[in-house]
Amino acid sequence: MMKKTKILKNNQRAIFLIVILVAVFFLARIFIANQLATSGKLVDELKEETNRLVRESSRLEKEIVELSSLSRVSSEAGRLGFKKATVVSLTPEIPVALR
Amino acid sequence: MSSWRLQALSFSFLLLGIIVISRLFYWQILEGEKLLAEAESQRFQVQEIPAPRGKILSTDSFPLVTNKEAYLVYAILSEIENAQKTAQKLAQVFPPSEDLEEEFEKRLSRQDLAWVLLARKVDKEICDEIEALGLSGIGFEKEEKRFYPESSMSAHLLGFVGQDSAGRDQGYFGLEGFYDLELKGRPGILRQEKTASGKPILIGWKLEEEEIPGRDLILYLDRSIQYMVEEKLKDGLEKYGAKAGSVVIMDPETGGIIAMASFPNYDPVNYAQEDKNLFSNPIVSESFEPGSIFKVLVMSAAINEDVVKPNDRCSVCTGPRAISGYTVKTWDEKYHPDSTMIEIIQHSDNVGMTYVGEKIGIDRFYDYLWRFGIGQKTGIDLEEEASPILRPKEKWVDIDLATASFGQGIAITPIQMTQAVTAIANGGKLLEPHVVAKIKTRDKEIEVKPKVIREVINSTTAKIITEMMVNATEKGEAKWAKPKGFRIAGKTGTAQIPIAGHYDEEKTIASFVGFAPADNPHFVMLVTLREPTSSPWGSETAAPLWFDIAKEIFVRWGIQP
Repeated sequence: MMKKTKILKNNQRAIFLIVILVAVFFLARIFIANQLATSGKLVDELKEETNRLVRESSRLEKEIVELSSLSRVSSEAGRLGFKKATVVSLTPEIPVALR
Repeated sequence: MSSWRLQALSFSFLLLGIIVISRLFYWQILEGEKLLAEAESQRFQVQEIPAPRGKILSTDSFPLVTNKEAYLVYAILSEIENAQKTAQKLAQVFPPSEDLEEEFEKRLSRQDLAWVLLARKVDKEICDEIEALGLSGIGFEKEEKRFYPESSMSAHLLGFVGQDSAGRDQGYFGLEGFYDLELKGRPGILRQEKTASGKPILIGWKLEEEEIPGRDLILYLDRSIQYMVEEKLKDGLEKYGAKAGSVVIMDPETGGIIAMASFPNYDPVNYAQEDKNLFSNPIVSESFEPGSIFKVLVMSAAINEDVVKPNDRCSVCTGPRAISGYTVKTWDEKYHPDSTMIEIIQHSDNVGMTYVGEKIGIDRFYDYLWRFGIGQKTGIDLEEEASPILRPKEKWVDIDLATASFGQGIAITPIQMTQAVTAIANGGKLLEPHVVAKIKTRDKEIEVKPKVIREVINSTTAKIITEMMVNATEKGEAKWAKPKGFRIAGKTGTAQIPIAGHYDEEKTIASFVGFAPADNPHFVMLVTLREPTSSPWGSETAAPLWFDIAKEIFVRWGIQP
């Protein structure tokens, strides 16, 4: 009789523990799902920031190539007073001292 | 309750049941798909992620064509307060254009649409100005547009990007046309669940297909040489009073195009306002009768077939020659009896060339035309390449052989001529010309390997013809312009232009083709000038321009005499 009571009590404890565990996991899932569900706004903001940085990078790249284009360099050189060499002679030997 | 009342009640319940079931059937079965689609459109958002178009880079990886930020400007018509005032304010922000305000007003006044497109590929600066106006109902959607850091340099080579019938970007002409599939990439798709306010739900259902960016093209083109060539060609057209001109420079070892320029050209940014007859690259699509520059190919064939040797003498070079009722004369009406083959090229002797042509014969002559690539496309990677058709061999008669031997009565494109002379420069191999050296994907670079089409002449013949061309440059009519100390293999050409069945008395195409240094060629170049007015002769127009460009190349590449 006592043995039966003991087994019953153990079973009740086990059931109780399982219920508690299920409840905890259930609550945890709800909590995480809620966090994720409301993170959509954050994701949007991060995407916008990424796009902004990509646009800025693209703008800077465009500026660099514009400044280094040959047509711009040529006109800037002219504006700064540089002139094209009119007399260029090429020598057969390399014009440096090798020793 | 009496039985008829019970029956009436049962009947009315039955009727109500049938009505409800019918209605449910209508909404769930007949309209089910439509409602599902509407529910999905409320729950899901579908976004196309555009793929950036690939860049076109010169050999030093400088972008000749890249992309910049642009916007599509649209209007939500229900939010437009006053169509006429909105159109007026918008038109003031855009660059001035005929009927622009009227066009905007027409679109903003439409009653049958909810949304209208106002403009595409609008620069960010203009969009910022529109935003500052604070007009209601005007929105922007980001897109990209092509940007040319070197302006209209290499316009014919690059082509331009327009729209196809569906409004999608499409490359036309040049590299943009030829490599359109590689350059456009593939847009991605993002389909995901969203909240009522349009924000994405991370734990919701999501389907994402990443975009594949377009591939970049890395060219053989040397940017500084291209710039210099365009400047020199522009100056040359003015100096010699020519209507049009072109320069093409090829690497004799790889077939790579180092520079390619022709004028008049066009601005690829504003192609819609340009004359569309200028879009096609004349170097690969327009033919001309080459004249005396063709003689080097004919002489190569004769030497290769061993029907003549360099020091053999011409027995018919005493004066004008009658062939099939036509008279063949020299360009200067001076005759050199007993000329050697070397002297025939040096004097550019038409009569001497008819002698060489006869020695080869129609069959072998035709065979060599094919071997040199005449009458076939070269295979260059530009969209608009065309080749004039070679008349079938069976239709050739003596006078055709005679005139073709000095480059008249036969049509070629500038790229075909350059390709053929490259075979002389590199020891006899006909190469497929290429503009693109490498194709760059996200993960790797794919090299476009040089392609040898066939061997045309043997290396001994190539050396002999090279020496003949060096001799022609040293002692021929262009010797006065040649840079001192350099061995340049070249040939002048002055071809008459055929008009309505006869040759024009005054108009010519002046040309010079050659390679340098002769013993170890770094480049092959062809210069053509159409209808120069200062002088009709190639020796006085195209040749000095060729030498001028060559001198610059020698300095830039450190090629010493």
